[in-house]
Amino acid sequence: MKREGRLLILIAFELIIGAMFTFRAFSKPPPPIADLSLLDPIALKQLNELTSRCQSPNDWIRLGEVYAALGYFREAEGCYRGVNDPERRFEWGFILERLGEIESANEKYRSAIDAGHPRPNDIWYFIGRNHLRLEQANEAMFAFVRAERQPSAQYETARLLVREQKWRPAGQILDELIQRYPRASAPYLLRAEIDRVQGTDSRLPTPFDREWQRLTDLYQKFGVQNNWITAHSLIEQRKYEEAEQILKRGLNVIWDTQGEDLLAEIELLTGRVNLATQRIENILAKEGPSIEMLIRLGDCHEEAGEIPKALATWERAAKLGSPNAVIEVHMRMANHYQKLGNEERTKYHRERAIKGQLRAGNRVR
Amino acid sequence: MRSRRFVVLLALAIIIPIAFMILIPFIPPLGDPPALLPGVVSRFDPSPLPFKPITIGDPSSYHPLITHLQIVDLDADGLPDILACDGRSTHVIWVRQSPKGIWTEIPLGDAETMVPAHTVTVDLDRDGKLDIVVAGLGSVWPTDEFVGRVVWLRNLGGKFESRILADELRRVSDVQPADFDGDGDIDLIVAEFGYDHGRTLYLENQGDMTFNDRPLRAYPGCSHVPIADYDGDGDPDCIALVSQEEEALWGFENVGGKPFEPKRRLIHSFLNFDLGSAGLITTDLDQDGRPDLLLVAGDNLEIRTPVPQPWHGCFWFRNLGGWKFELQRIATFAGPYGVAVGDLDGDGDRDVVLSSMFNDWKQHDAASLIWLENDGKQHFKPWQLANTPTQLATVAIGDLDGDGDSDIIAGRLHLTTPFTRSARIMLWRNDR
Repeated sequence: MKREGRLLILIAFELIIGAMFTFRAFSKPPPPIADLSLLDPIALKQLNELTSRCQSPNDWIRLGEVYAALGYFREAEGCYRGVNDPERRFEWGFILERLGEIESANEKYRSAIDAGHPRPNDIWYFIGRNHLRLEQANEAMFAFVRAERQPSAQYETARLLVREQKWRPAGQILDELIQRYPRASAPYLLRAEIDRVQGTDSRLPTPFDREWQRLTDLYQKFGVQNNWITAHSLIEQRKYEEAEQILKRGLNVIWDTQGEDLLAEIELLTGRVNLATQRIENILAKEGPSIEMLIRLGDCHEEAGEIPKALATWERAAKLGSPNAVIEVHMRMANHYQKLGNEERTKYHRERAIKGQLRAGNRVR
Repeated sequence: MRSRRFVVLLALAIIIPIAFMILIPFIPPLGDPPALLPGVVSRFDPSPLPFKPITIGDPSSYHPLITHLQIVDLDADGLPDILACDGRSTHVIWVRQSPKGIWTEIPLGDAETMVPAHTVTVDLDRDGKLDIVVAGLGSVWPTDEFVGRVVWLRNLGGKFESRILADELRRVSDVQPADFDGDGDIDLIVAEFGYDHGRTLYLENQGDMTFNDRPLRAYPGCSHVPIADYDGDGDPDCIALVSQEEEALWGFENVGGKPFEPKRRLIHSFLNFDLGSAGLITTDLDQDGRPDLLLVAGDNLEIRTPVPQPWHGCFWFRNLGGWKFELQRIATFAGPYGVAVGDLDGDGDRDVVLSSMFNDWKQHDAASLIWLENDGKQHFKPWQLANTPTQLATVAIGDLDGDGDSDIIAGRLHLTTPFTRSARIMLWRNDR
């Protein structure tokens, strides 16, 4: 009796436990069911089997993976809820990303890293991409830098640097990528863009160039062209008198901007400012405005002590464009405006000069 | 007796847990399934303007691949026709309207072109007859093979002769004509989309209908090259939509003279590499005399199972003059590919029609064709025109039935699932 009583108690205990498990099984949520009418009959059957046997967390994940593979991302996401494994958290983030839930995706990616995902650099790349999707450049850059030497992240870092016109660090990253992945075309393309913008791109040397240069060299030894080249060389040697004679001989034969400009330069260097000014004004009247000539005219006015005139001329030159020559002019204008007590223009031109210098500095590789 | 009862109880004590273990896995879960995220899907209120959908041309027996539609009166008989690029055919198809309301398909040209992607009509040889220049994509699917070409369908008076203007190109997605160097003949700008490699090309007409090619930019992904006088200086400029390695608009400013050596200008570059730029047209949306741009972003073709994204939609680049453009989103719409402009409601302003390639087609009421009603101040209200057929890659507006209002045509590019709710070329007749 005693033994039977114990068995009865055991059976009752088993029934209670069984009932609890049964209740738990009944109250479990079923897996998400997608509208599968668009699937082919074989895939439909396979998916139905997976759905009907979906009990354990692993079954749910398996179903979620299949849903994702077939493009049912909403249902897939429903299967991944509550996963803890770092790999699964990453997959959950990836599905959220596909659904356009970018911020939630990044949250899951970060939690995968925190949980010890074996490839955190890859995940930082995904995080960075999502920040790009949200047009968040700084956050994207931060993530890509965290991805360290993950090559795609490095490439994206270079792209962001190019956007910021930081040519030098971008070029360094791309050069490294080219070395590591010499057969990948994207780094070469971006590198070529940088070189194009910096003016450091070049054509392959061809025999044609060599031949053409030979004829060009010869051409420069004939006619007035030779006068200008010789005079230029003499000016560099400070042989102004000799240069002036050669230039005047050439200009007597034919009027030419180059010759006239060189003569103006000699006049300016030898203190004949008015003559130089007239000559450059003459060039401008004939040729129309150019940044270089306006700068030179401003130089003449400055030399003559006519600072307001010089400033007005340089301002006009600076508005026409921003080649490197304008950088120095900005600095000179800033100095003059400071002396005149015009703080606003001083600040403006100083900022422009610094910006230009930074850009020019970046050009040096 | 007692011992038999004991054995029974012992058996029950053993069987009950085993039975539970076997049976519990078969118990159907009766809880609530997890609530799903809504996902991105676009659906709108039905259009207050009545449009009647009508099938045009031959119904396709297999998934149609209409890449481009253009409304043009090719035979100058007073009835608008349709030029259709069908990736299933190796010819541009002239869907001729004659007599009114009767449509007949005529393949054009005497040579084949793989996957014609875009047509533009222009009197290229200046003989008084409207010719067609075709961008030959060569392959709908990504490849770096030299499968693209530019073809001239020369109008010989109702008959069209094919002449290849440029060959051995990577995938060519667009070609646009204008006299860029001011020498009196028509030059071309070509969007050589490619894949990993591609270019924006300039084809300079040598005057004898031969063309020298010169790259304007050696970067892949140039898909559209609309031409207009964007800076108002009297000569044609070009703006290229690039969407492979970058999502950007590049301007090529014509600075005059021959040869054409344009100044390159970055109009806008999106950080979002996944934007999905799919179409770019020129239109003076605000009618201020300056040509604006409309960009649709909804491409997802690189993904096997495309899903619409929240940033998809239509963007207006308002031309402020001096190569300055102000960017403004005018619609959020899932997966748009086609865009066209016209006055649908006859109130004098410019409305916009958008067609979708990649809305969430698993949802039956997802919109495939919508129009954006302009309130006259360039604020737009979206109205749904259709949810079927789906996957509409191209759209055009014109008065096809000659009743004085704007009708819509759209074509289906049926590349991905679902392969239901099909059609090939559809007309939505404006019954206003």
